[in-house]
Amino acid sequence: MVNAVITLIMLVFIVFLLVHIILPTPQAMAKVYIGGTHFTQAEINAIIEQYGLNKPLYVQFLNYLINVFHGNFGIDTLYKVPVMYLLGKFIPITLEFVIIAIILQVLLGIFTGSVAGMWRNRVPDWVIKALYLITWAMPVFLLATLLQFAFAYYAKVLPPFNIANPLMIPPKTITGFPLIDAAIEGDWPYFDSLLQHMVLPVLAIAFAGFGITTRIMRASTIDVLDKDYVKLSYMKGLSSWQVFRKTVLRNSLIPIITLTALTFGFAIAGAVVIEEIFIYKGMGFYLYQSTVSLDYVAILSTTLIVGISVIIANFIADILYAVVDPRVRLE
Amino acid sequence: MKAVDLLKKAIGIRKDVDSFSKRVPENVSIWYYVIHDPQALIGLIIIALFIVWSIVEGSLQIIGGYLKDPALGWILLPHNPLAPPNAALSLKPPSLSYLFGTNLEGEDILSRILYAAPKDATAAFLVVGLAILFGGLLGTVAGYFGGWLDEALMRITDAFLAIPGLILAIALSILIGPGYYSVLIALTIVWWPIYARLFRGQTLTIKYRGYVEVSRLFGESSLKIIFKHVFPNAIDPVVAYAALDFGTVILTYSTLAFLGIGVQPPYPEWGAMASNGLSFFPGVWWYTLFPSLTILLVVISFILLGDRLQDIISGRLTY
Amino acid sequence: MPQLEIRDLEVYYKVPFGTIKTLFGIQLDVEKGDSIGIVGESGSGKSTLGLSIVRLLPPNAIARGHIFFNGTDLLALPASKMKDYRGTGIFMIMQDPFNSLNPVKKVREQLIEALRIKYLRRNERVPEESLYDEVLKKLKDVKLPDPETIMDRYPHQLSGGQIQRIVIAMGLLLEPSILIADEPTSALDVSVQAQIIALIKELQDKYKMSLLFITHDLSVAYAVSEKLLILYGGRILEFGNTEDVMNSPAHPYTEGLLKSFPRGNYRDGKLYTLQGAPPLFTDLPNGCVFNPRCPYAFDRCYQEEPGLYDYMGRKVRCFLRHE
Repeated sequence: MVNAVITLIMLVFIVFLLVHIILPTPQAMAKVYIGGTHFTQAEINAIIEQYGLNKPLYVQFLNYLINVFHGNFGIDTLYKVPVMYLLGKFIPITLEFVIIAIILQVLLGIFTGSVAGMWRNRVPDWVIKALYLITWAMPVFLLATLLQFAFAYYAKVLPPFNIANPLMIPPKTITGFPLIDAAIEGDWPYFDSLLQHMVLPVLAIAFAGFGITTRIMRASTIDVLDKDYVKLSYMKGLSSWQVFRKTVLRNSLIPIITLTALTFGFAIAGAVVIEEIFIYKGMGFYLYQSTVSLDYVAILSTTLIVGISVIIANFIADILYAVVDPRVRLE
Repeated sequence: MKAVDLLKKAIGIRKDVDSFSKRVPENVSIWYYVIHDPQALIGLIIIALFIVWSIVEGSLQIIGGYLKDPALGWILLPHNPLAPPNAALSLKPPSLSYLFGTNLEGEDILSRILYAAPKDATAAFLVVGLAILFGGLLGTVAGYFGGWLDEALMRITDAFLAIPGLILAIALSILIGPGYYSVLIALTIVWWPIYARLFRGQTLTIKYRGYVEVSRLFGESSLKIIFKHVFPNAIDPVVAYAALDFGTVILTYSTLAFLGIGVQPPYPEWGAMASNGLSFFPGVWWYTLFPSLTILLVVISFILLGDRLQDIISGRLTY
Repeated sequence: MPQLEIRDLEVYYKVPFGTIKTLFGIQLDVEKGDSIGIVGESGSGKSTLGLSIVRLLPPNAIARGHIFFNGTDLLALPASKMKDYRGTGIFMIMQDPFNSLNPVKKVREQLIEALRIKYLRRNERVPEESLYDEVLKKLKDVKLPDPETIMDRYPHQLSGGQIQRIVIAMGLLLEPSILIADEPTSALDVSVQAQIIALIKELQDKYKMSLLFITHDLSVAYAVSEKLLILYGGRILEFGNTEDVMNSPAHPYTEGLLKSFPRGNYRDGKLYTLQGAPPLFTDLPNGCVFNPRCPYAFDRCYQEEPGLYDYMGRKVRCFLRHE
């Protein structure tokens, strides 16, 4: 817990340093806070005064820290609205499909990794290895393009882009998560459209990432199979399947918890490319737009938000870890 | 847990089953295994071709630059990769003279792929090399001295590792400014923390080994111990990890180029070429497919080799 | 008919660039109620022997030959049928207690799981409470103090001696006809070692099991076994009654082992040490495996391998005992 908080502050400090390297003068900083291109000197001075931009650096850092925890990042230069407002709109969209993708990816990885580990150095192991080596080494944009071509343009079973059918009216924003909002409003046609549009981005992320889970799961299964307690489990007279289900699986899953928090970061990064290809307007698409328009504040804020969510994911993983492994629980 | 391990060591539990079923004999070098293993060998051959070609082509480009004769850079290529736009040659499908077809500007895609290779190779080896150097030094020192220094380094690396590599690289390269070198700097900043972690972990296990304790007893300086004993002994598992990592750097580098960050046009870059061709997919399939497949081939060979090296070092080879 | 007949057992390990043979033509009969000590230095193949009987060798191992258990050839069975012979037929105790129990399950669950299998095989339905009672009774049998509390513990909260007692209790719950113990005490303190050995011996008599006790320690084997099997370089060097072997060792290797075995007052004399180290399976000598360390080796020992000869009611692999 203490470590997570220190890491969080360290993260903010790193981003703060980066901001100061790019915007070294109070004037430059103030312009970013106002947004837009036309400012009067009076306006700038007012902002400098208001945000304390001429104070010593450590005071500024404390202010920055407070601002970050209040969600106050500045103004987006393109949309002319606070960055936090945009992130609040885009983050749930990305989070929704990324979480679904991660669940799919982890299940796929656990299954293939266990199979590869149990039948190591035999045909199933080789087939799975060939499969994940290709998806792992394949650039995400190629994978996404191939999926888009196969299912949307060739087979025409799924829509090629957008979050939902643009001709349909989206339900009222309640939680920000489109699927949940549509469900609350009972707007099932829209819900269905959301799901259809989500399939390809979800598949792209899950396929791109499952290789790492498979690889760790395979190694972990092999390590567990080598342990004496597995031999003892066999000695009780259990069948291979029972030994796997009762003894091997539970123990080999332990490293997957930590790994899943890690893949969360990869998946978010993959979302930048995938959202651009599928024109899925979430946080990744926003980040891509910001890089094109060189919107520093938006880029750094997104980076910071992603970092914070990964730290939170790691923290959750640590708690889950203690739930699953009694050895950690009691120490 | 640690006390138990120590106890087991003190009592000297030896499993005679394990001693010959699991371990790789120590007198055989790792490379002997690599060249006798089909998977690792395929990876090694493709990597070797990639490196040799990059050195040859890269030197020609550099010499051409000094002699103010850029044509020297494509003397070995079938066509000029930087030829001026030619509508007559635009988007030609693969043929005998244009094996991988041509792009919108009428340039030969194969020549452009080969011309861009040295930049990818340099990116991979420079970024991982610098990350090992910086990360290795910081990690070893932190692990060796421990205390608040170690604690601080761990929190800094945690903070860096919290940001997904691609996103941090995007942010940094935008901040530093456009261009090839800013991407290299950004990637190095992204890559060092994981190596700091690896070296720290290794150092912690080496620190208490007999020969280090003896050196300390004989009053050797910490600096000397770190350079003479700790750093060289920590490097083995790092090399196996790095072999895999070269591929990851190339993948990230191409993805950045795909997003329009990095090498600026008209110079070719694999990821950028794939990105340009995307809008013509699938009609003009060769435009995006060949650059993408090149990335796939190079990355997969690094993974093939690195995966096997890790198996060998961790003794999982016979399984 | 013996309960367990091992015939021409050979075990190979597939390793990178070849195979290593680690057991050479092992022959062994185990009669009901026998207790056999299998003694060898580390790397002699003794654990491989134990694991090949229950067919739990690592996946890169190949076992050839026959192991008849009550007339069924275990090595010829399909892998899926082997489970029917483990547990209630043959039970094996592993050498490292700290890795013997599943770390994520409570002791109680692991013991009851074993008990369920026994009743499933007998087609008996037993209520949950009586399962618990039976487990508790067996834990008392193995002299585990405070069994009620320990049943609700996780393995990492227990000492090596406690875990070994729990594993033995698990074996008793399954009521096997053969118990194999693979160095069950080598990871324990000396005082606990003696208790566990005494316990195994006592329970063997009480439950009428056959016992195969694998150890590197001749004194331990002497304490538990009626027959002694000396394993070296993957071969049986000597096999006979424990008393006979200990009183008049027939093989030079056994003789060396006994001489280097400190007994009584050895402070005034010199402790005999066996010269050299056991051979590596990758580099076995020509002729007799023991010839590099044998004080009596002569020409023939370097040229051909001795057979396992009958000598004074036991079996010895040495030309000196071949009349």
